[in-house]
Amino acid sequence: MNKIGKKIVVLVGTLLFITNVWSQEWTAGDNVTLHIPFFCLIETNYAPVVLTFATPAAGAPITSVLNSDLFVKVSSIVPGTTHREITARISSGSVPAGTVLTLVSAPCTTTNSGGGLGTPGATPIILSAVDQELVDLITTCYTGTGYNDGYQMTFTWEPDNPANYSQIESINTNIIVVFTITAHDSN
Amino acid sequence: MFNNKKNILLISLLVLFFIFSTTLPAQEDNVTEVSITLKVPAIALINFIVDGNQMITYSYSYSGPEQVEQIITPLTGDKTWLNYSSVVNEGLTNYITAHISSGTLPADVTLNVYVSSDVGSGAGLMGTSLGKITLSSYPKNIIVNIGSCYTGVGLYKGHQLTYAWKNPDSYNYELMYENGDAIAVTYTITSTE
Repeated sequence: MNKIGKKIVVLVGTLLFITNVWSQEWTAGDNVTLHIPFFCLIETNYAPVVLTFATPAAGAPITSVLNSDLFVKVSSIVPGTTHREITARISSGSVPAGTVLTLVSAPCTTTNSGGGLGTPGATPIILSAVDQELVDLITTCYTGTGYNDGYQMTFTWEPDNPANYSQIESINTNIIVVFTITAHDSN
Repeated sequence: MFNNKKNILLISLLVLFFIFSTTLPAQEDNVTEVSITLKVPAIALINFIVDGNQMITYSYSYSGPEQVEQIITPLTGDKTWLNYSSVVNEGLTNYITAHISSGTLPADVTLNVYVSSDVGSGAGLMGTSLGKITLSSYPKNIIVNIGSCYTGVGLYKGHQLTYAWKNPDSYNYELMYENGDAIAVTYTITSTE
């Protein structure tokens, strides 16, 4: 053992001795800094969402059609008592005239999730170009990463009120819906 | 420790990596996009409902959702209601025709049908009734300019049909029916496409 090695042994021994002697009166501790960055991530299961109005009985209006294939997954760390929201808006395209497209989130699935998963709004939002809240009070949490983990989204597409029925036209269109998990300090 | 070239190169790379990783725009991981496909099919559906309170013989033939056939007699009268649902392509309309699809009228008998306006139980752009039509084996328009609309389903919804026979006594329905030669009228809804 070299010189430095011996010195360290002596130093450690001394330290051990000192802490043993004083341990009844002092609490020894290291100042350990654990840094958890605040972050949020959002993704979907990329389920294709296709809504097609069904053919009604002769004389009947087209009725609502719904799709619940899409799940939204998040991971979130927030500081203190802050929270985040999941919002949705249409970023491209528009809902065909005479019809409305609504969206509502189910509570997060419980199989692979944990933490403060928030509360979905009770009333479906009518999708528009403006962000609207789907899930509120998301704190530090994770939803799981499986295909059917997370917040199940139900799209409902239906004719607007009867006064606008004549505006409906046969069409095949795509729209882009953007889901956002907000910054924790935006609330 | 820092005097060899390999280490210097390694440290330089590390420094460069950190510089680049911090100056790259932060990824927008708080946003995700979904494509939604919305399909409105073109719709042209027709049906008729007959008020069963009157002793009549009628037959319903479902040759397709856009076509229905009704066997009529001098007693059919005004008990028939035409219901339809329509969703049109941009710039197009649907229209309904009627023709005698089975049976032959005696030469001295004329069969007219009066088509009422829509009674307003549905919504949308209802078709325009052309009123009184003399039926023949050639399809004639009875309701035109149907946009996207629905009449409602059932009796007293849509357009009321009233058949009027000129010289009905010449037409022996019982005999015709037994011979399989009863008069049948087919209503067809078609797009102007």
